[in-house]
Amino acid sequence: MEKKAAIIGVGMTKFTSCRRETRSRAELAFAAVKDALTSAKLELKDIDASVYTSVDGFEATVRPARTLEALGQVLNIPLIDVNTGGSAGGSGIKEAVHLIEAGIYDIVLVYGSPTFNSVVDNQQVLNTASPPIFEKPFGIGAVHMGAFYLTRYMRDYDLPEESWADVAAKNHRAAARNPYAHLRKGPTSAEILASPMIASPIRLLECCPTSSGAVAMIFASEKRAKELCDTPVWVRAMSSITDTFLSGFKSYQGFDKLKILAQKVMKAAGIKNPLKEIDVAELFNPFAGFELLEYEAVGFCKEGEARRLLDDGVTDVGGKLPVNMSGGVVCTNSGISASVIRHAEVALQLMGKAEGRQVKSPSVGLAHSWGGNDGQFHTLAVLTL
Amino acid sequence: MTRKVGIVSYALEGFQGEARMSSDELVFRAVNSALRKAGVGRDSIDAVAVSSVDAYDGITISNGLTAPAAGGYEKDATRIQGGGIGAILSAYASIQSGSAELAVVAGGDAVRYDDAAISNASYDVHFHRGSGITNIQSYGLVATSLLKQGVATEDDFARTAAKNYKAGTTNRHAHITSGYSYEDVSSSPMVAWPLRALEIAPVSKGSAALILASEKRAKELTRNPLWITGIAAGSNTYAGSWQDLLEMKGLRKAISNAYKSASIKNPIADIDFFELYTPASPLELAYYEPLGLCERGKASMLLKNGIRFSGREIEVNPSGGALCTNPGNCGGVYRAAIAMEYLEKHDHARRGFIQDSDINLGFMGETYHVMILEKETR
Amino acid sequence: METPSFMSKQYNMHLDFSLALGASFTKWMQALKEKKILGNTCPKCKRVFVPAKPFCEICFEELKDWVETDGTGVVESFTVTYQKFRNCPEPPYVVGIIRIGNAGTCMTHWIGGLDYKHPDEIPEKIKIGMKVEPVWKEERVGDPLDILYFKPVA
Repeated sequence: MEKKAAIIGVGMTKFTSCRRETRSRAELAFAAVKDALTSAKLELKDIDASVYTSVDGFEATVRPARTLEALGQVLNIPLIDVNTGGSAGGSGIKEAVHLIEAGIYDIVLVYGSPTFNSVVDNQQVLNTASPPIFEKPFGIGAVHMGAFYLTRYMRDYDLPEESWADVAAKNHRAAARNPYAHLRKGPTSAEILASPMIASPIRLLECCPTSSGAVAMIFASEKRAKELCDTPVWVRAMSSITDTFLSGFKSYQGFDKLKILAQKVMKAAGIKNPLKEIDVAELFNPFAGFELLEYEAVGFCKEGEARRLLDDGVTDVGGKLPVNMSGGVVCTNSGISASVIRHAEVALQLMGKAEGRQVKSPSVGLAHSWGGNDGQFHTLAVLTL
Repeated sequence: MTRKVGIVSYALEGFQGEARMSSDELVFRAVNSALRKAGVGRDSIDAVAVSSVDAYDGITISNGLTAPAAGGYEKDATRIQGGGIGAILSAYASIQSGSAELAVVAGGDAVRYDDAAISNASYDVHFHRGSGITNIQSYGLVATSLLKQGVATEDDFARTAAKNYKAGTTNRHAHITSGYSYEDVSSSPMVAWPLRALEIAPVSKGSAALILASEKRAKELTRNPLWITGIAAGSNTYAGSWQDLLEMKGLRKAISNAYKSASIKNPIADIDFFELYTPASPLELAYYEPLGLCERGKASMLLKNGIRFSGREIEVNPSGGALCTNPGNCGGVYRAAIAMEYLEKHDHARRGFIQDSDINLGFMGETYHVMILEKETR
Repeated sequence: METPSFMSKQYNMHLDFSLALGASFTKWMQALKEKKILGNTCPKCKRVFVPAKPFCEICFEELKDWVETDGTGVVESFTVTYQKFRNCPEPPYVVGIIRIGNAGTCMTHWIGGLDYKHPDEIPEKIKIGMKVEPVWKEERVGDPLDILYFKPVA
C-alpha cells in the first residue's frame, strides 16, 4: 500500500521587478520559508529534508543552494538540489512527494528560488541553454522557442493574433486581483496588441516579466498531515516527461509531450473528463499564448478548440474551470519559483486561502510546469482536497 | 515492512584519458551497456535520475543533453546536483514510493574546464569569492585542522595518497594507474600548504550508469542483486562550517542514519570495505573517526596499523579512490559501480559502504551522501 | 551622509569550456566543408537524423549508417526577431526550423534571401512548408555557420 503526501503549508513573498528588488537572496528565502512554516504551524526543527530548486547559470553562482542558509542546513538535514530548468519547481516537488511516499521523510520543505535576481540580461543566459554548437549561435532565447510553437499553431488553425492578446488580457486581469503578483495594471487586449512585437507572433505584453520573489511549500506524510492541517492538499498523481534536446527535433505542433504526460497523470488520478472533473488549474505560460496550446494538451478541449474555451469564458473568473487566476507566469515570473508557485497557487485555492483571487469551493486542481531548452521537460500534478 | 530496492546492473565508460566524445554520447554508451547487461530495453525504464552540475557540462540546464542519453525520452526524469548518490536516492525513492519499478541513474563527464575556477564560482560572491578560495584551499583548511589538532602529520597525508595510488594500479577503470610512491608524493610540489600536488585528485572524464529495480523486478532480472540497505544524506550550513572543519556534522548525520537502517552496530565487524570520496588525501584521515573506524585523534595510528577484523583486512578505497579517478558529475555513480564490481569479485565481501559528497566544489555548505550495498543473504 | 537602505553589486561568471565532438558530429561538420549536408539513420526505426547524431534516443541504438541529402528542406516553423538580444544578431532576423530532405528531425538555421526593408511584412513572406536551400560561405571550416542562411528555392 502506497503512502500519501500532502501540502500543508505555503509561504510566499510579494513579487516585484528584479530591477526594483531591494531584498537580498537570503532575506527572500528567510521570508518565504518562515511564512511556509507559520502556515503549517511548524518550526524549523520539524523539517526532515529540504529541496532546493533553481538553475545555476541564472544565479551566476555554481550550486547557489550551498551558500543559502535558510533551508535548515543548521539541522544538518539533507539538502537536495534539483535543477531541470524552468520545470525544476515541479521536479523538486515530485522529489519531495516521492521521498515522503517512500516513507523516508515525514516533513519536507521545497524552496523555489528567485532565479533571475542577479541576472542583468536574461536572454543571454537562456541562449546558453541551447545546444552549444548546433543552435546557440543562431540567436535563440526562450521567446524564440515559444514563437516556433505559436507561429505553427496560428498557421495550422487560422488563429487571429487577437486571440493571443485575449488570453494575455485574461491573465493580466487576474493578476490585478492577486496581491502577490508582479504586473497588476491589467492592460486590455487592444493595449496588448499595440505593444511592440518581440519575436513574431509574440508581443511585449504577451511575454513574462523578470520578477523577483520567493516561495516555499511544506509537504507532509499522511499521518503528519492529518495531525497538523485541517485542509491538507493531497498529491493524487504527479509525473514528468522528457523530450529530445535539440530544438530542431520537434515538429512544433502543439505540446505533444505534455499531451502524453497528461494522459498518464489523468489515468493515475482516475480522471476521465478533465474539463468536468477539474475545478481550477495553473498552467505554465511564460508567453500568454501557451495557455491555449496547454488547454488542448491537458485535455480540456480538442485540438484547435482552445480559442472557443477562452471566448466562452470557461477558463475566466466565474467559469467552469478557471485557469491561471494568479495571473499566470506571464504576469509574474521569478524563475524557478514560478514553477513552484503553480502548485502553491492551486494548493491555496483548494485550502480556500487564495486572497483576492479565490475560486468558489474547488476540490480538484491541476498544476503544470515547463522548462529546459525549448520546453524539453513538463511536470503535471493533480492536487485534491 | 518497507520494500527492498536493488541495483541489478552497472556500466562504466572511459576514465583513462581525455574524453573523445560529448557527454551525451558517453552517457548513452554507459546506459546502453548497463541495460544490455541487465537484459532489458529502454522501454522497460520508468524513471531516470541524472547526476550532474551545469558548470561541469559548460551549459545551463545540462541534463537537457544527458537525460535523453540516459534513456529518458518520453520518460519521467530528473536531475540531482550535488553527487551521484543523491541521484541514486532519487531513483530509490521513485521505486520505494511505487511510482517506478525500474530506474536508471547515470552521469557523464566530457567537457574540459578549470576545476578550481568553477569551485571558486560556488562561493559567496560578496564575501568569499574575491579571497581566492577554491576547493583546493578548502581541503587545505581541513588538512591544517588535522595537523593543528594532532590527528595526523604531513607524512600521513603522503602515505595515505601512496596507499590510494597503489590500490589504483589494480583498478582497470582508474584514470591514474602509475602507482605513485610515498617518495613521489612527498617530493611533489606544494600547492596550497599543507597539500602537495599528488595529494590532490585529478579531474577525470568518463561516464557511469546503474540500473535500480524494485525487489520483485530485481529478482526477475538477476540471481545476484545487490540491495541498498541504507542510504542517507546530511548537509553542513555554509557559514557555520567554517568554524568547525573537523566536526562534519552533516556527514555524521548521514552515516548514523545509514548505519541505523542497515542495522550496523560495529562498522569494522559489519562492513567489508569502504569507498570514500576523498579528493585530497588528508580527508580520508578526517573521515575515519566519523565512520566509527577509530576513536577521535587516532586516525594516524589506524593508517599505520591498517584496519583488521578477525584476520581480514578491511579496505578503504580499494579502487584507489578519488586520487586515481575523479569525475565531477558522475563520481558517486562511478563509486557505486566500482563497489558493485568489488562485491562481484570478492566472495568473502558481503557488504560495502560508499560515501559521496559535493566537496568537489569545496567545503562549506556541502552535502554528504552515504549508501550501504549488500549481497542477498542466503 | 545618509546610509542607503540597500546596495547592489555587479558580478559575473566568465568560465571557458572545451568539448570533444565525437565521431558522428565530427563527420557531419567535416562534410559541411564540402558543401554537403549529411544525415545518419537509425537501424531500427529508419528515421534520418539531420544534423547527424551519435544515437537514436527512441530506439536507443547507435547510428552508424550515413546518407547524403541534396541540402534542400522545408520550413516547419519560424520566428522573426524585432528586438536586439545581447550576443545575438542585429534584428530583424529570421530563425527557422528546417526539415532537410525526408529527415525525421529538423535543423535550426536562419532564413535569409528575403526583402528586409519592411520588417513588419516578413512573417507574411514565409509559409510553413516553404522549400528552402542553403547559401554557403566561401571559406568553410566545418561548422553549421558555414551555411550563411537558407533561402527560398526560386
